[in-house]
Amino acid sequence: MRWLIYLALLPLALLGCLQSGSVTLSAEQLLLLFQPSEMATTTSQLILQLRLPRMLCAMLIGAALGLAGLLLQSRSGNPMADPGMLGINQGAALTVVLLLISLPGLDPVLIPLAGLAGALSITGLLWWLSQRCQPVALLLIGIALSSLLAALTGLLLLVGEQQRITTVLTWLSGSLAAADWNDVWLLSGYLLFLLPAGIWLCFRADPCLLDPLSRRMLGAEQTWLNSLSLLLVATLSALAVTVAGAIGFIGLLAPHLARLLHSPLPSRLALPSMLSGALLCLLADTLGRALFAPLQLPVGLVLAIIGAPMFLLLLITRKTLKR
Amino acid sequence: MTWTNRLLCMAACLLALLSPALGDPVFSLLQLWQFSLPSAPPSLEALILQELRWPRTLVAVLGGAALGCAGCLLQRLTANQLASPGLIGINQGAALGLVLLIMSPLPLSPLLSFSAAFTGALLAMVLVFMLTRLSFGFLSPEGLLLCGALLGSLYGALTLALLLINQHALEQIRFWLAGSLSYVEPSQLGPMAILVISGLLFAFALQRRLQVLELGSDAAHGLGINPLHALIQIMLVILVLTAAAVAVIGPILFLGLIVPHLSRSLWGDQLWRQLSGSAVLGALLLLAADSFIRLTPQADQLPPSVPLAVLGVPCFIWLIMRRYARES
Repeated sequence: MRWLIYLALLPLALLGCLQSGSVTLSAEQLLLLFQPSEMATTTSQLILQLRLPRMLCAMLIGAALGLAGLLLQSRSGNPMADPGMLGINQGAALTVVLLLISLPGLDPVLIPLAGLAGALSITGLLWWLSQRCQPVALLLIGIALSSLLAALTGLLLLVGEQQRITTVLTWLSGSLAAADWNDVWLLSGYLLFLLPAGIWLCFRADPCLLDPLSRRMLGAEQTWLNSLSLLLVATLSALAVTVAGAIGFIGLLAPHLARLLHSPLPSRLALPSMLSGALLCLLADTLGRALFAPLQLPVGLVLAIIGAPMFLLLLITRKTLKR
Repeated sequence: MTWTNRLLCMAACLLALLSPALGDPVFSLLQLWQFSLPSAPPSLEALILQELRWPRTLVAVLGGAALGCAGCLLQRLTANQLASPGLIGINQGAALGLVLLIMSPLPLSPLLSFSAAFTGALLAMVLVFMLTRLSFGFLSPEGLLLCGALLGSLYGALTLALLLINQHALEQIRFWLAGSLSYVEPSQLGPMAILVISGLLFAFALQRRLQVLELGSDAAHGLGINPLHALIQIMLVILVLTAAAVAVIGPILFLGLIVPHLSRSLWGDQLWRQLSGSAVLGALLLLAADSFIRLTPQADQLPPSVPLAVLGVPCFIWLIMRRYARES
């Protein structure tokens, strides 16, 4: 029950993040929100229309990516896997940009489906490659692939019309600055089905810790569960990408943060990695919002700056990949 | 020299000579000759050729040769066919150094920007080798690449964050950061040429030491060469070449990876041949990418790193698949 620490941290973080930003609010001002008075309209608007939906989006995305990372790590047997680093997010971003540029004025509910197509094809490609090479090589391939996909996205942006590109560009850098209630409803509508499915898959993922031979001897082969998990990983990352652009490192760090407190069993890690992912994304977004107050750093950038050193630290201390 | 090699060398020379004529507007051969001479009457065409096209071509040749040569040296030095300065984060480190210089109150001069890029590259190289040693063991091939990729993305994110905070600097170097040749200034050409050419000369002067190093440190001691000194000398040459190229044309990633492989498959394993082949092919490839961009309508803003990434990533993936193929 140690993951309750994360649960206890969440309201604290929420409160802190609600207060900080380009305008710092005091606790009294937050309390004013619950009393109907004329004085508090701008404050309440600031909170209800800007900060609250943005923070909810950050938490939902963080939870989704944390779960996706855990599923991917346990199913691929590679503790360093992450949908952002392997290029799955970039694949989703590429197809979304393609759709936004070629078909403007599309129903926003359909955009995650376009992202899904890109994410799925990259996941399929990686799965096919992973059958043929060692786990370390898959990471290198993913890194190269994501830089290729980013270059292709840049190419698309050059070809498209100037007017549409500016909106696409802000979204692409992994920013939550434009998040509103519509995004929250979109995310929660999809996640209402996807998160329970993901948790269920994590509960069935414990035999993945065994090596392939013992798994076969125990009769715990799970081919269809494997493909289902990859499908879910692609869906979750596509969803996150459609709202916030390409955000990396959460899927990698959240399960590891959860493992710091827990046994390595995926069934035990499902809830903690969702919670720690939500916390991580929320804190990174708030940092980007508040550090250089009138200016905003995209959450993807903050996560890269926090995440890369943390990942290096993990590499040095755990030596997970050392043969 | 077989006929393919001669053909390639001739293609490189021809492309280098004709590349200034390509673009919008396209010049005929006669016009190219007339307007390129310093004695040409002042006109728009002469201005375009002398102030834009020729410097751009020369910078592409120098930068390509420098990056290709640095990639070849690094691959031989680390005995790792997947290494290249761009993939282990050195290019991004140099870029970060340069961005820090632009944000500082110091004036911008070619020499100063080179030293900033060199410092960034040096620190990046020391850091990546140190972290690799801590996490995977010294010169472990996959460790070097993984740590390098992570550090590279960290430097890239830091660079972007710095630029977002300082909008003035962003406007100044947005195109340079994407690795563009469109905004090269003629004044940068001289210092870059001196640095790249001296770097190339040192590379060729040090090639025997590198060959001795490849035999192992015991053999090097026996042959009267201090392996540590040789290692440091070669690293410095790699850094000078990379920093000189990055300071002018920006961080171009995949050139240093593919060129040594192409060169080896054409000219064989011998170091002298691979090194000179890398220099020629690097220049040819960057020049070809740049000419392609200039000839494509709408795409003249496109950084040459995009076609190079499209070309380089499949090569990289194929190389990895071959090296790390799963047994059984």
